Amino acid sequence: MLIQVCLYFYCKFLWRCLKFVMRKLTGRCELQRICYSNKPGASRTMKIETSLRDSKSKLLQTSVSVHPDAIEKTIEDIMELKNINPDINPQLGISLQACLLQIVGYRNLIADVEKLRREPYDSENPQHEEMLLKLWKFLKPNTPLESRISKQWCEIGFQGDDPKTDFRGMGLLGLYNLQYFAERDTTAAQQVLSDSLHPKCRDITKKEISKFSKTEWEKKRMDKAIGYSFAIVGINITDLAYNLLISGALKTHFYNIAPEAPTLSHFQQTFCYLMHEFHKFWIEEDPMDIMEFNRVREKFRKRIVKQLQNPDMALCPHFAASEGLINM
Amino acid sequence: MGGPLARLRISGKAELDPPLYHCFPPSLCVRGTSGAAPKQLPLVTGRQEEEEEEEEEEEGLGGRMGLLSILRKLKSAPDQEVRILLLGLDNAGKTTLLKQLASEDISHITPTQGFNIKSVQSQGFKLNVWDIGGQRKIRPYWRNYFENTDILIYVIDSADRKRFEETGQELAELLEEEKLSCVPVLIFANKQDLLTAAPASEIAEGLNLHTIRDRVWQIQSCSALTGEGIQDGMNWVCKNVNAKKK
Repeated sequence: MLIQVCLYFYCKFLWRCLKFVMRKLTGRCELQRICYSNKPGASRTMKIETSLRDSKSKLLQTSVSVHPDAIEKTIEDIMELKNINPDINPQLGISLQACLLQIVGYRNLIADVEKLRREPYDSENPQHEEMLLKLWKFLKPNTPLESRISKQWCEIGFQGDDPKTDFRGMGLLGLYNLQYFAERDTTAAQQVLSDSLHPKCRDITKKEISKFSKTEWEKKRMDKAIGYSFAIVGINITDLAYNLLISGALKTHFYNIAPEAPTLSHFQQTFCYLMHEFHKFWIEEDPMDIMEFNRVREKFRKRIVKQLQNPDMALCPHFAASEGLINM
Repeated sequence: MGGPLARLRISGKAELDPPLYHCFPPSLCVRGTSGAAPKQLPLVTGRQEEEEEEEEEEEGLGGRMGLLSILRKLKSAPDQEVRILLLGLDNAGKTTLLKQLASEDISHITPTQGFNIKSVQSQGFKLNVWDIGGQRKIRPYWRNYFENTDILIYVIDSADRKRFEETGQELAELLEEEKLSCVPVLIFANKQDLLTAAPASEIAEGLNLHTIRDRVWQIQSCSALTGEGIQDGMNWVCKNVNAKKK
């Protein structure tokens, strides 16, 4: 323990020295060096973020949590503090500003998402109710809902006859995400829903297998029917997306795709992407039944986290919900 | 909310083994009668043995550590693995209960697809708690988990009166299962923190619990959200781990 503490301070000291030497050698401060040697995107923004957070100066430390409107002023202050002449280095201010917008934006997105998550679904709130009914309409445009409390909700994968109890710890966030997916990416959502409704045809024992001809068996195996509950899985995937956001794993993705501050719709698009990918993953994994859900989900989570460790990674969404997104 | 809640415990005395019954520390029955803080140090009654007193103190101090100290009482069964099955309708609070037992954060719970399992380890004693989803679609899978169950915990949402009949039916079916025969059953009358919650006595009557003759049973009111009553229930579980009759 003591050794670790010593090592920590030693490394910190070494790092400071290195920074000092580099500064003297290149005549540039760390922020400048990062901006000049990295192209815009997650790798640059994340390095800037670390540099600012670990800085000795109070101004730099607090700059990662300033109000978005105060960013310009903060940049000016930083430039002044670091003795950088904005006329000689016009690009630096712009780059720093972009980075800071993303950093601050990510923090604010967490706050927004958290606020939605904490708001429980309230069946007495007409807005919430309207949203829930909309979700039904987008997913089942040809089947009217017979009544607000109905067994029909099970058809889109809620647990019982009243969805209000299913949002639980994800609160409104779950509903927002599901509705976004169903509204903006209707075809895909309906496809995922209809796939998810097929029960798996797997109640065959070994004895019976021998009775089948090979082609018949293949046919049964190839049956892409999967059988999970769409809405419930949506709420579970919301939990996954939420945890990725909170842990900071989604930084790579957002810093790469959102040139300015990431917003709630970016988060919702990420959710749509995760639903897609999970659906594909589930089919690939070909689990025996729904009881394997948590195993598959955990494997899927690990895969996504691994992908996000690559600084050039964007969970590239190439489907309807994100058409306006790929413009970088 | 607290007072009557913790006091209410109705047990199937008829089937309890005398020695097991004897080792109920009397303090457990008075615990928490003052209400507000469920984890507070219980009133110590005169009849207690020293050893028990010590353990009770730890419980009060450590909050969650309490579970470990109860398990310590089961010295006769070292290294024993206990398989606990957690069942009940959807939205009864099974996963919240599970997370409470494992001292995990309960604010991010989502409906269970499939199942969750957690092991609560203690000195040479291991509680494997299986929490199976309660959605109607998943209920047919329950039977895959019956084998070798030592204790069945059945969770009821005491505020969801509309579904008392449904939950009663499911419980009755479980009790008729051959693989679960003689397995002690603990019924948690959960969500007592809600004003509309039915008291445990009412639920016990509604479910005709006193007609259960073939096993040890207990109904315990609790709130998985606040943690109240869970400790008492788990005390009972640990007392009755070995009450399964062959």
